[in-house]
Amino acid sequence: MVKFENVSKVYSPGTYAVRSLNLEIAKGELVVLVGPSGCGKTTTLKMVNRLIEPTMGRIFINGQDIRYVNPAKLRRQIGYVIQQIGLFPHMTIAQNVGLVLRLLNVPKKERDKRVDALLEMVGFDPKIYRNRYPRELSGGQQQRIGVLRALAADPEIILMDEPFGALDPITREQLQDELKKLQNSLHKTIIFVTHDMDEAIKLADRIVVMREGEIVQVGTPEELLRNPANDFIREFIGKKRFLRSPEEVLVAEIMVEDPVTGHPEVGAAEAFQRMQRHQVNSMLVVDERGILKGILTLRGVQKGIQSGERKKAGELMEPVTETVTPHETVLAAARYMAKSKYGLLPVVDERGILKGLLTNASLINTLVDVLWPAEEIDPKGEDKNGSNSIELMGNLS
Amino acid sequence: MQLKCKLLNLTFVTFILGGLLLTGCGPGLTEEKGAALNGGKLVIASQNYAEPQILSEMIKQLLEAKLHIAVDHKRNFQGSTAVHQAMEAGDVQMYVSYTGTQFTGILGMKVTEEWKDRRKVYEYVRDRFHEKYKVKVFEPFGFNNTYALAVRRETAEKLNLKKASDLAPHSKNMAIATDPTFQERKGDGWDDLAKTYGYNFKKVVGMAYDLMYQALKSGDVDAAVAYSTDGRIPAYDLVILEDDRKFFPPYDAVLFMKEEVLQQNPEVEKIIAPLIGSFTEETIAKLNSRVDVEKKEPAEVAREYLKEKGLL
Amino acid sequence: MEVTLSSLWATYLERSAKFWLLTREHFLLLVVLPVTMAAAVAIPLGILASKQRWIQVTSLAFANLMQTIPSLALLAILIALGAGIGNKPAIIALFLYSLLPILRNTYTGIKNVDNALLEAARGMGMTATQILIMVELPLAFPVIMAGIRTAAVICVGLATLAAFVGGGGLGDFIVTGLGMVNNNLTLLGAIPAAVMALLLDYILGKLEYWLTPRGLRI
Repeated sequence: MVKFENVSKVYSPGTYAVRSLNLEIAKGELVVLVGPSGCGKTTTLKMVNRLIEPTMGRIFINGQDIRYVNPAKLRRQIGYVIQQIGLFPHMTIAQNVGLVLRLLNVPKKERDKRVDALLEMVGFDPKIYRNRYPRELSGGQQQRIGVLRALAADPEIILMDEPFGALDPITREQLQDELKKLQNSLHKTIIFVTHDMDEAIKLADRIVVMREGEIVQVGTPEELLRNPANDFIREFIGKKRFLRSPEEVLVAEIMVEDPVTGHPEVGAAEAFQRMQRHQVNSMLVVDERGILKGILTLRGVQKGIQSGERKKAGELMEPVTETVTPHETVLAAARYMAKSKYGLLPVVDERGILKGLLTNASLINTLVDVLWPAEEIDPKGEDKNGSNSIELMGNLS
Repeated sequence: MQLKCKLLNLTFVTFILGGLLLTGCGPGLTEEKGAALNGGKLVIASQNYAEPQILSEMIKQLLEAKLHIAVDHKRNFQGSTAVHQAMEAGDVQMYVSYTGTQFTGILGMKVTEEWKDRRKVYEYVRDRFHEKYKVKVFEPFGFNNTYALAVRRETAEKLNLKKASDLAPHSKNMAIATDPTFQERKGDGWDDLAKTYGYNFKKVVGMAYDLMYQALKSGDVDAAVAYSTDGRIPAYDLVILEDDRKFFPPYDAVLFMKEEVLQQNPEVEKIIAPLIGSFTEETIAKLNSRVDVEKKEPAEVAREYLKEKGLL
Repeated sequence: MEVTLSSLWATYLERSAKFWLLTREHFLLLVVLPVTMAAAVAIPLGILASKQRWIQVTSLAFANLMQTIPSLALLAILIALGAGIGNKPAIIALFLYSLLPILRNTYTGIKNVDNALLEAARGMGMTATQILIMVELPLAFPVIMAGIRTAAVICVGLATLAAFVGGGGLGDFIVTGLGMVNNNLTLLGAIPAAVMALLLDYILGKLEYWLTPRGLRI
């Protein structure tokens, strides 16, 4: 599908951004280019849609040398998602999603139909979102639209340049899950750039680790984890992933550091809005000293709102029975989690001050990585676990 | 950003309006009030153009050299009224102005037929200023800086124009430029001038005084109501047509001085004396042109002139 | 000189016909015409300037230079260059003075478009022209409009310079009024000019708002 043949990019004589790169990507494959910044991964990606021209070598798409394809035409056939999202603020969501179709002169009616179908596919009600503007959406919602925009013309190839890099950890995880789901049904050829090894392992069919313009190792996540080619890769993947048992990994290392919180005096409506904005189904209630007072679930809030009385978060919250301290091990955390009825575990210190949050998903991911790094990770199983604790608002409402 | 823009625009408008009001109403200068002599210093004021500034510089330099007294020359007053007000307020002790200006301006007289005589107007101004303001009006410097009709030398030669009345038969094919103020003046303004000489110009353009000469030189207009001693008349090779029907009121340049200050410094009269009656329209026009056209400083022009005449 | 409402009213009545003539002249010939001309030149030039460094350097230098020339000197130069007298040199001078705000705003408006958007646009397969028309110009529009607005308001004030070359406009009253120390006459020119500037600013502001793409409105 996509083939790099001895591709090099030289910016100034002697400094290679990419050096003699050879790589073949099969149809329907999700390949993640990963490496530290300056390793040439983004340059490699942008050479595929000719945003950057190689200095030497050739790139083929379906056997055709892309040097002979008009760049604008080429790019309309390749989806492109960037970290900064880049939705056009003066266009509606529908106009943004349908833009490539417009460039391809697809008639308006057909365009609208396609846009609506795409919106529905990721749980956006077209009637509500079609005519919204990007600034009315949260960052996570915007990047979902960014992905839809890349999918609009049904391209065979999609390039993603650190698409989730600017999102908060929870949203990032959700979008990763959604991308996997989409990929399971759409089977696009995706080239995905990231510097986050966890993301690479989670998403990739094949990982290409790069350093200083060259490929260090290519392999499935499993291969990489099992047989890292050298110390660089071992270092890059992270030692904890291989060598440490659950008794060694501390809660502080894997917890979410900025969970959604609210003061007991916060009104039910505002609490609801806050959860909606962050797309979570619960909020931790803390007082002004940061001490955890309880947990407010979405259900609790909805009850409070339906009751018609102006209830506050402090009145609607439920007590938290299970907590963990940052210094405890992941193994201990897993035990508490099993008893928790909310699928999440607040992290508090000795004085009861909230420090972070462990979710079912993050805990299980860690345990899976740590305990069975070489095992095939079943995406469906993981999905189920993930959506137990944190769900899309679109699905809930 | 939008708000900032709005504010800026508003400020701008206020500024323009305010600026116009200020320049219209006064000099916009604040001076500390003082006795007749500000700390032993004499202050001489002049308006914002070359001629009074050159003459004021001459007086300043002569007094400083011979009376050994510091003379402060305050330049760029807007309008003769402003200068007069400054003298009334005690901030200024001397200034150079014109008989006709004071006659119609501060004294509020109308220039009728009987007031076309230079001497008569001078004496009237001198006497009224003595009575009303206790201001001494010196004898004239000798030249008459009145309005005058100017044409290009080639036009004058081709049409054989010498006097203002020679222009009348040609006027219907000509455009003339005047100061916009001149067109509004009643009694000694454009309407009466045209009536007196029977002019019928195809176009009468009001424009900035300073641009009139340029427009005349470039051929955009054929004549202009100029000032008779303007430096650009010799510089641009223009010709003044003689006011043969004695339409324009006299504008003799004279020195005004607080009598009280003169009494304290009686030598002033003797020191100034060589300047009195010593200028013709041509000599002052050449001096003016050195400032207006050659862009020299009035002080420099004055010094050179005084040296040349052996007065310094 | 005393200025009262009644003296001002009397001054107006004396020349009401001329007042309306000059006001119309001021607005149409000395504001609308030169600003429209300046927009027609400065917007394309600003677009080119945002693409070509040498055009940016030369055009902004030229427009800046124009701003530094005092109006009387600029008019003298224009007359010497053969622009004549009357409203022609005044319109040219006002055109030249209006260039800078529009040029600068067009240039900055386009230059300030987020690089991520340009990257996204190119990556989606938009040609340079499509990017200009579909992305850069709509996003720069409020800034360009603000430039036109500034130019128009400045122009209302500067247009009084037309009186220096027999070009008419409200400057006629102002210059004559100043020369004659007739404050009534000066105000008869200055007040409508100020009102015109405020009204123009307001109307163009509204226009700017309504023409701004909805997604960009604040």
